[in-house]
Order: sequence, then C-alpha cells, then structure tokens
Amino acid sequence: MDMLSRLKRKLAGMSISQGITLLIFVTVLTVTMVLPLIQMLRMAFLGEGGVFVGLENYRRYFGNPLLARSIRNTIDISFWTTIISTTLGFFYAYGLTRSNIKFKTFFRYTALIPIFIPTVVHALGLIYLFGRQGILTRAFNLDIEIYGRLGIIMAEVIFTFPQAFLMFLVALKFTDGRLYEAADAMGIPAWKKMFFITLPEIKYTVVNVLFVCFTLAFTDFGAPKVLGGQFNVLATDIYQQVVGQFNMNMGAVVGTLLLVPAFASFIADRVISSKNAGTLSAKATTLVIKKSYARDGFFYVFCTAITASLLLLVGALFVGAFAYFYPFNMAFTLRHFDFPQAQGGINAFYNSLLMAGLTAVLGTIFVFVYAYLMEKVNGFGGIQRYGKLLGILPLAVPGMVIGLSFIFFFNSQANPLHFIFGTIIILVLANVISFFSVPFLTISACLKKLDKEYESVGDSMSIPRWKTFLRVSVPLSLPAILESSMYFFVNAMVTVSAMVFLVSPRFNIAAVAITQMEENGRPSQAAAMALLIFGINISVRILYEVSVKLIQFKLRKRETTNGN
Amino acid sequence: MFLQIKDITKKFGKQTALNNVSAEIEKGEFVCILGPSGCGKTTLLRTIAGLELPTSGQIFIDGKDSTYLHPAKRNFGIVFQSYALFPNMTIVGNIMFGLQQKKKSMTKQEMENKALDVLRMVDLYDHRNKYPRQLSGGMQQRTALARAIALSPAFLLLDEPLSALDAKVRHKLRTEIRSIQQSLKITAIMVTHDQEEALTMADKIIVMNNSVVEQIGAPREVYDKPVNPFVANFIGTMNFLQRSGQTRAIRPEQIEIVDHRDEHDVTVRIKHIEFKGVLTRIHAFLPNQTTMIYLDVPSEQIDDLQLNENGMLFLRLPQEHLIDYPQGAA
Ligand SMILES: Nc1ncnc2c1ncn2[C@@H]1O[C@H](COP(=O)(O)OP(=O)(O)OP(=O)(O)O)[C@@H](O)[C@H]1O
Ligand SMILES: [Mg+2]
Repeated sequence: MDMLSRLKRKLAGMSISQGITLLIFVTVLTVTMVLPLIQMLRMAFLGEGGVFVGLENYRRYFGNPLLARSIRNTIDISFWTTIISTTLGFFYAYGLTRSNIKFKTFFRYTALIPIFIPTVVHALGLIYLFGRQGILTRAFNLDIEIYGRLGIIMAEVIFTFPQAFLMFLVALKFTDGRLYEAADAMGIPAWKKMFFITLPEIKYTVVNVLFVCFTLAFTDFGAPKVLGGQFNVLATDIYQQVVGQFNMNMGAVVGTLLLVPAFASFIADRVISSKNAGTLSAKATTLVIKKSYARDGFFYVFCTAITASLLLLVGALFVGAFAYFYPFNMAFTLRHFDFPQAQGGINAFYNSLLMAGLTAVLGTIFVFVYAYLMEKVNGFGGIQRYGKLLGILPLAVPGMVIGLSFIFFFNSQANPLHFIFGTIIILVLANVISFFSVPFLTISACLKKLDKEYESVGDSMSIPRWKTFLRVSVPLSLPAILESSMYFFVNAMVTVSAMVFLVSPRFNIAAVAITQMEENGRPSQAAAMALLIFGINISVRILYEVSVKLIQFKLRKRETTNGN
Repeated sequence: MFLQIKDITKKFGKQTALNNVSAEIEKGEFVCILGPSGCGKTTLLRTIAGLELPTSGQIFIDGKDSTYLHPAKRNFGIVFQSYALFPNMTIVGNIMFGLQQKKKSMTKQEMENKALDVLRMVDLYDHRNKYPRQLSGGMQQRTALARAIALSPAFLLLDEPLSALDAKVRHKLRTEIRSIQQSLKITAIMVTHDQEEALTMADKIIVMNNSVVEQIGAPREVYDKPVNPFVANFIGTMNFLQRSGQTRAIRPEQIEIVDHRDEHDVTVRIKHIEFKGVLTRIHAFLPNQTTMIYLDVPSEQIDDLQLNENGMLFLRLPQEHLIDYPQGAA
C-alpha cells in the first residue's frame, strides 16, 4: 500500500472535528493536571535557587525529628480511623440491608450528614461537644483531651464514616439470596454464614474501604488544622512549610509523601475493579431477611447511637451559631451571621456559591464531553487509552497536592496562564480536577449503556454528531448529569485542602473562612458559616433527589400509559 | 450494476473479519448475506455503509469509488437488530428527526406528511405518538424500518432485523419487509443467519463462512447447486456418499423409496423415524453400518409405506439430483 492511500485511509477513518475536540480536551487536562504534578515532583528534588540536589531534601526531612514524627503521627491516626470507620460503616450498612429495622431511609440520609459540611466543621462540632466548655463536658463532667490525637481520630472517623458506609451499602445490597437459602438448608449457624458467605462476598469492598478511609484520613487538612495543637501531621506540615516558612521544596517533599497511600489505594482499586466485574449472576434471588428480635434490637440501638451522635454534632453547631455568648449567655441571636470583614464577610459565602455553581456547571459539561469523546468516538485508540487513564488519575491525587502543585505551576511568572492565579478561575479549575473522577466514571458507565448504534443511525441520516449528541446522548444521560453536578457542587462547597493555597484575600471562600475564624477565636461565626454551607448543600441534595424522582416518574408514565 | 464490492479485506488488529470479499448487487435487488455467527456478515454490512473502513479493497456505489465516502453521503437507510430507536422521542419524532436534517427543502407540513405516510406504510399510524418502549418488539422494528425508508434512501441495510422477534411476528414481518421493498423498488441488503429467511426473501444470497464468500446466487441456485459441502450443509440438509472415487451429494427430499432393488439402488436399515410436520424424516444406515443417510417423505404417505425401525428399505438416488464434489470434500 502506498503512503498516500494509507494516509487517506487513516484520515477517512477519523472525523477531523472529533479528533481535534478530543485532542483539545486531553491537552487541557494534561496541562492543568499532569504538568503541575510534574512541577511539584521536580521541586522535591531542587534546592535553593533551583539547583538539583537529588535526595538531599528527603534526607533533611527525615533527619528532622520533629518532621519525621509527623509521619508516625499521620500513620497512627489514619490507622485507627480506618479500623473504627470500617467497623462502624460495615455494621451500619449491615443493619440497613440485612435486618428488619424501620426508618431505614431516615438512617441512610442522616449517615450522610458529614458529607455536607467541611472537615474543619467536624472538628469544630467536637470542640463544642467535648472542648473545655463543651456541652457534654459540662453536662457529664467529662475530661477528654480533644486537642490532639484523640480529637483528630474522632473527627476523621466522622469524615470517613459516610464513605465506608456507602461503599458497604452498595456491596451488601447486591447479594445472592440463594447462598443463604442453601446454607439454611444445611443448618449452618448465623456466625458461620457471616464468616463464610457474607464477608467473602464483600471482601473486595472491604479492601477498598480500608484503603479509602486510610487515604482520606492520611491526607485531610481541616481537622488536624483545628484540633492539632502540638500534634503535627503531614497535611499541616505542608501548610506550615509553604505558607509559614515559604519553603517550597520541603512542601513538595511532603506533597510526594501524601501521594504514597493515595497511589497505593488507586492501584488497589484498579486491580479490584477489574476482578470484581459482574460477579452477580442473573439468576440471583433477592435475600429474604428472617425475623430476629435480638438482631433487630441490636441494630436499633447501634444505628440510633450513630445517628444521634451525628445529629448531636449538628445540634452543637446550632447552639454555637445562635447562642449569644456560649456558654455564658444562651440568649438567641443572629449576630454571629455578621461575619468578620477580614475573612471576607458574607461575601465568602457568596463566593463559595459562585465557585461551587461554576464548578458544577462547567465541570459537568467538561466531564460529559470528555467521557463522550472517550466512549463514543472511534479510531483514536492510543489517545483514548491515555485519556481514560487521565480521567481516573485524580482519584490518586489528594486535594492538598493539587493545591500545592497549582501554586508551583500557575504562580510562576513564566507561565502564560499566570493571570488566573488569585482569581476564581483557578479555584474552579482545582475543584473540577480534584473531583473529576467520580463524575467521569458515573457518566462513562451511563454512556456505555446507551446503544452504540445511535451514532450509526444518526450518520446514516446525515445528522451531524453534535446534534445526535445534544438530542439523544445528553437527554438520555440526564440522571447521571444531575448526579455529577450535585457531586461537584457539594464537594466544592466543603473542600478546604486544595483551596487554602489558592484563595486570595480579595476572594475568600466559606470553607476557608471557617478555618480562619476558628483560628482567630471566633467559633460562633465559624459555626454560623458552617450552617449556611450545610443548609445550601442539603437543599441542593433535595433538589437533586426530587428531579431524579420526577424524571423516573415521567419515564414510567411513558412506559405504562397508552400514548394515544 | 448498482453496488460493487471489490476485494474487500477488513482486519481488526490481527483478526481478519473479511478476507478478499467481492460481490455485485443490482439496482432493486433484495440481497441476503447469510452465514454462521462470527463469519463477518455484520462487518461486511457496516463496510458497505461506511461505518467501518476496509483495510484494503474498494466499494463502488453507482459506479463511483465510494470506499472512503462518509456514511452520511452514501444515502442509505439502516435497521439494526437492537432497533436503536431514540427512546426520548415519540415514534413520529424518531422519523422527523432524520427528515428535518436531510430534507431542508421541505416545509414542516410536507415533512410531517411524509412521516405519516411511511408510518401508514408500516401500519403504525395509530401509534405515532407513543414512545418506543410502549410498543412491542415487532412494532419497534417496524418503526426502525419506517425511519430508515423515510429519507427515500438509495439502498436499505438491515442487520438481522428479525432475530430478536418470536417466530410468528418474524414470519409476518418477512412478508412485510419484502413487499415494502418491492413497492419502493429499493435495493436492500439484509444480514441473517437464518437460512429459511434468506431462501424466502432474497433475490440473491451471499453465503459466507470464516470471513470469505463461499457462494453467490439466487436461492434456488444456492439450494440446488451448492458449490461446496459447506454451503450444501448450511442451507438445508445434504447427504454425502463416497462412491467410485467421488463424493456425491443428494438432498433428503430427492431420494425415492422403491419396491424392487435395481443395480444402482441402495439398501438401508432404518434407525429412526422422525415426524416433523408435513414431512417425516427417516434416518437410516447405509450397508457399511457407519454412514447415516436422511430422506424426507411426505407424512401422509408414511402409513402406506408401513415402515418400522430396524426394517430394510430400498432407495433410489436419481441421477439428475446427484451433485459431485472432489473426493473427501465432505
Ligand atoms: N469492532 C471490532 N473489533 C474487533 N473485532 C471485531 C469487531 N467487529 C467484529 N469483530 C470480529 O470480526 C469477526 C466478524 O464479526 P461480525 O460481527 O462481522 O460477525 P457476524 O457474522 O455479524 O456474526 P453474528 O452472526 O454473531 O452477528 C468476529 O470474529 C468478531 O469478533
Ligand atoms: Mg452480526
């Protein structure tokens, strides 16, 4: 075959416009994610004045007993958080799927409360409950040292519990009832069923949950920032090195350390999801839950205890936000909603709304088109494989690292994109990238389910691809689109870790303002701001649930009623 | 000649889906591509549509080299096994979607009339405002057909359009598709792995196996004169006999039962009598005790013949129906 016809063949196989779009999208993600990461990795090996020093920075870091201790601290709190959250999450999900307790919907939604507030606020709530003047401290004369190790572990458990619970919920919901029926027929006792059927069935989820909890606790910034005291962890170290001492290279060193468990978790997840695909046979029967008062009684107590703790936490925020001067003057007031100007006042909240809104809209559009290009365009095998990998890579990059690498990359005068530094653009960008993967996977899965011949039919009718895209693929993916927007919005409202490096005094955001107000001894105002975030996130979630119900209702009507 | 497929080879990586496939299709013909699963039928159809590009070879439409022509410019309508109806549009909406794009010269009213016309043609006018999921499989398939012909394409491509339907509906739709094709005088190419479907519907059958074309011909021709044992066996049943250094073949229904044995006749022992409706199939052993021979007898004659299992039978293999293949071909 001669060159010309080979080229012709190649070009004919690809639509040029789709190819260019694909290239643009992959390039954008590369420039905004991969290049900053590379920049951060480079910084870890550079010394004063940008000379290459090899592992010198690492040697200095590990040689400093104070800093080296942070690693031990971080592993310590992550370890205990993982154990506790995994256990609690498992039993909570088990109670909701394998027992006959009532109010399951209520239990399910209250377990999600921590997702709707920043991690600093989990810590803040704990201070209101267990601090020196804490509600519980005073009521029961407790003496719990909330500042330090114990407090951080408690806050991280609150933070990671919903994630563990949700993962177990999915795993336990889909099970093959026939296994249990067979076991019953053989007279196998309950504890044996647990160890020989239930746990083996969800073993991959268990591993995943362990990794996720560990990574989340390992990389969280909010809770240790508020509760740390003398107890340093890696995430607060980075902040001190970079913001406190302007030691960028040391910051980069700590950043690379944060990547370690995140990458391990990422690889574990990839391995597991390749093994775990479609194990449930079509013949599986749903599980019939037997009667057991003892079991149900246990789960009533257990689930109520957890729910009560979470409600107590939110309750404490209400007390903090609305009491005139806790604990001395408990009169109702709205004065704490008058936020200090140094933190941007109420504008910090409006800024957050704007940022989260833009993240939700732009992020979802970008991810949707990106996933579409990966799933539905033919003939770009290599770029598409790279693009898909890029799409899930953010799972392995903690927010702290994204924030840090963004400073290194965009704050350099040589970068033509320098102008976005200090503006809302970089905040939105950091959020879209931090939370890219989950929407990407959701939307990809949804697009995969659409008939791959829609595009062929469209082609045969001379309908341009963009029109098939807008009129068919987008409307059919509406639930996934809504879910992704909500995910982006809620996360952008609560995230602190990437943001602390990127907000400017002129453009502060609510979650960061809460941290600062707490630091400056204004917990009531921090609590008030937390309630605003909580309120808006709950509203968005409700809006989402209602929209999905409406769509489902409309579809069902279409399928059951007579269209005449 | 309307469509010429010339030396098409298509590879997916290392796997060859089409190996040097050539065929010619006349205007107005109904062509069936027939073959076992995985032999490359769909790939051939998609290559004709331009949805896949051949690794080598050419495709001429109306005499023009169209190998690299964009699908949208080839002017065909396509129907998939999965129907691929847009679930978020009504039946009439599905048809209008294509019309709006392609027939820019039409007024909205004309478009609507056109859409309703084709819906009447497939007998779905009354269901025009329903959504696809509210219709039965057969109706959905007719919608897909209506959508494909609404744009008055030069040719129609159908990929196993009937295989997801139950037998009754399938038979009814066969006739419907065929009559619509004939009244529109449109060229149609249909993929199927059902030999009966191909025999009853097609003007011409392209028999494929293992990515190559085995035979092209009219249904009668392919049935009566299969060029090789594969075709013979794939379409209907064929008996193969090794005789005087040759492989000779004969269809079960061509074999005659005789009372007295001639020198060319054979004696067989009945193994099994299988009632199949109109015909009854007799399974019998040749004298060598290993080769099985099948013959079909009209069921109404069975009683008169007074056959029983393990009984002997004389068969005549009429010379004019015997087909010769090189030795050992079967
Ligand atoms: N997109 C593709 N990528 C890789 N291999 C493919 C692709 N499409 C088809 N093939 C392979 O090419 C061969 C021919 O496939 P094709 O779909 O044309 O068969 P078919 O005759 O239509 O089969 P069926 O009756 O099962 O639909 C098969 O082995 C198939 O696995
Ligand atoms: Mg096929």
